Amino acid sequence: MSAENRRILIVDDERPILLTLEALLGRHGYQPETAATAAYGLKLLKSNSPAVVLLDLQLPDAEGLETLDQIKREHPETQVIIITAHDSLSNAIESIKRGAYHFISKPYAPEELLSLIDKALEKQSLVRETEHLRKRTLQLEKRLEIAETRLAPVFKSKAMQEIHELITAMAPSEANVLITGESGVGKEVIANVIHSRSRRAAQPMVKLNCAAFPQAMIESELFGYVKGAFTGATNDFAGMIAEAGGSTLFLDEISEMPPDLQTRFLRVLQEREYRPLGSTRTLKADFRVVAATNRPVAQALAENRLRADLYYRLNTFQIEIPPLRERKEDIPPLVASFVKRFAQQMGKAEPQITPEAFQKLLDYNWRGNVRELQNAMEYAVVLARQDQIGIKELPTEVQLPSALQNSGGGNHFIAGARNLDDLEREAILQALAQCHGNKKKAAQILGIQRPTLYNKMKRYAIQL
Amino acid sequence: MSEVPKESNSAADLRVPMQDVVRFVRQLSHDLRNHLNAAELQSAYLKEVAEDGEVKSEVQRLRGMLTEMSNSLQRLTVALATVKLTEMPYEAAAFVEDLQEKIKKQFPEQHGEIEWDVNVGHGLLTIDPQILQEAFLELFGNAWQHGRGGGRLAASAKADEKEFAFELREPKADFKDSVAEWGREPFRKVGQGHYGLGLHRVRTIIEAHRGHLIARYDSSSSSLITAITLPVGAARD
Repeated sequence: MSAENRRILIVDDERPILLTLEALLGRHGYQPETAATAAYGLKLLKSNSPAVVLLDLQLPDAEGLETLDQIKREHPETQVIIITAHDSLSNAIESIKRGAYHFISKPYAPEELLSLIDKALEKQSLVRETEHLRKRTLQLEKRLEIAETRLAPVFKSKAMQEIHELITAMAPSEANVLITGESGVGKEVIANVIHSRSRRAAQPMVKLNCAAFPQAMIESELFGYVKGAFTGATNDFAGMIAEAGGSTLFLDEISEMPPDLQTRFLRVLQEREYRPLGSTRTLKADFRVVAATNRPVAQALAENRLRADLYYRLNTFQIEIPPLRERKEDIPPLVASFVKRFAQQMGKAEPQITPEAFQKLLDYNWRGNVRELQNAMEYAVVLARQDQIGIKELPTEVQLPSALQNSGGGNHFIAGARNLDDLEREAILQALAQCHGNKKKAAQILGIQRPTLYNKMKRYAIQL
Repeated sequence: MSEVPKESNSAADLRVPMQDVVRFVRQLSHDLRNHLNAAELQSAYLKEVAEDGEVKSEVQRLRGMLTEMSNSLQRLTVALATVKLTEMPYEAAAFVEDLQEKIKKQFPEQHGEIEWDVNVGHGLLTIDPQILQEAFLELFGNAWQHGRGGGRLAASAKADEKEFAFELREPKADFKDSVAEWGREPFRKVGQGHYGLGLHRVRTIIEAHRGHLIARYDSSSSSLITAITLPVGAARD
């Protein structure tokens, strides 16, 4: 917070008044500045931003009320006190109508003037604070809108509509939920929706990403501990089960939780009781669990990454979110939502996407799913020129022809390649992808002449 | 039969200290001004809501009357206010120059009737220029207002190393009043719109500046002469 503005501008053409007021205000801790003409007063007002202006209505170079209008128009926060002679009180009242804070008639008692200035400063401070709060409220409203948009799933596809209907039906229940799907499909978004529509929505959902903590730490994070339970436990820590009391506990990447801890957690789900590390007290657990994993469940079970008994406990409802490439109808509404959000965040006009660029977005395979699309749109909105997103504004990998995208651009061969032709075709695609479609460079990488590359591309029906 | 004590409640028997009278008048003036301000605002509102042009104009007249009353009380309050100075070093020449300018502005019709004789050199006063100017303006206002005789006003301002001396010589058509207690007795001359406070205020201001005010009537020239002296140099507390 900046220091209080105590600058007072005195605009009066009479030297004795200017000097007396300057001395009086200076002695009472204000920072007075003086101007003998309206023009100089307005100049000082612009350069020094005083909090209060003492304005004489009878100035040699301007009509007082017009000067007041100009001050209020250009510096609405500044409070103006009119100094007036006896015979111009009607003007003073007119000045109040035009936005002056108050008027004081000459001759005035110094105490009266000082008290008026104090009140004007108080009002100025309140006006400023109100303006600050108004701006802050607008910012928060905007953020809230963005956050709500982020929390709400955006979809059009039949698969997502079915998931939505399932959520509508089961969210109000206490049933555990297991959400599966590739990384980036929006498992946390779905968990948020389930929580927000549940009877536990009044409390915030508690999230624990099992992949984000070293395995040894997950236990203490989840169950909490008492002081001295282990080296470094210098204070009691309630843990996430306690924090999720009355709410929902979202366990992301559940298959990364150590198997023995999965057993212990299963017991909590069954008995609704738990004991923090190092504690002899058994505490009640009151949470609903929503878990998520990006590993195929069958694979996780087969590899013993997910204990079967915990899986069956969590799997009251299972929601499998399909990858984005399998529900391309969701791309247009997602793109529109991301463009709007990022344009708002960056304070830019919402750019339009050219049809060619849009087609690229639809053709791309989105291996990183919605998260990758989100990042791509942020990139595009940053680069958008003249309120337009063209192909050039998309990330390089999205710009690539679809034939090259399917190769993945990696150095591995697609599993299941059947014969040498397949391998050769794949090698050509990889080289082209690596060079962003530049055939000369791709031929160099492959160690063949460019005409040979053209022939092979023709043979394998590779079109860029 | 015991003798019934004689009641003595006539106004002539009351002895009220001057400061109590002043306090009473100030408080009364303050309260009345508050009421008048409220009435003024109310009439401003009436004017806003009135639709009839004649009513609007009548309300405007009413506002004017209320403003006049408020102004009278304001002048009364100020005249009785304790003088609190914001003193500063001020060149005597600048003070006289400001005064001449102000007289020109405040008395546009009469200011040409003054014959000035100014010789203040570089004398430095320690004054509240605004309040001191107010006192001098009151003297000039009085000169034009009361029993004006023929001829011009003569104002002289001189300063040496010790003293700033100002003299106002005003021709009086007929002057019978004593000037022995000139400005010492407020409310002495009370009439319509006049409360006998102007000179009292002038004297108070001059004395607050460690100066003196003396008045005398010169019958040979039929002039009232008001002399003010102020110390030159830094203020001595």
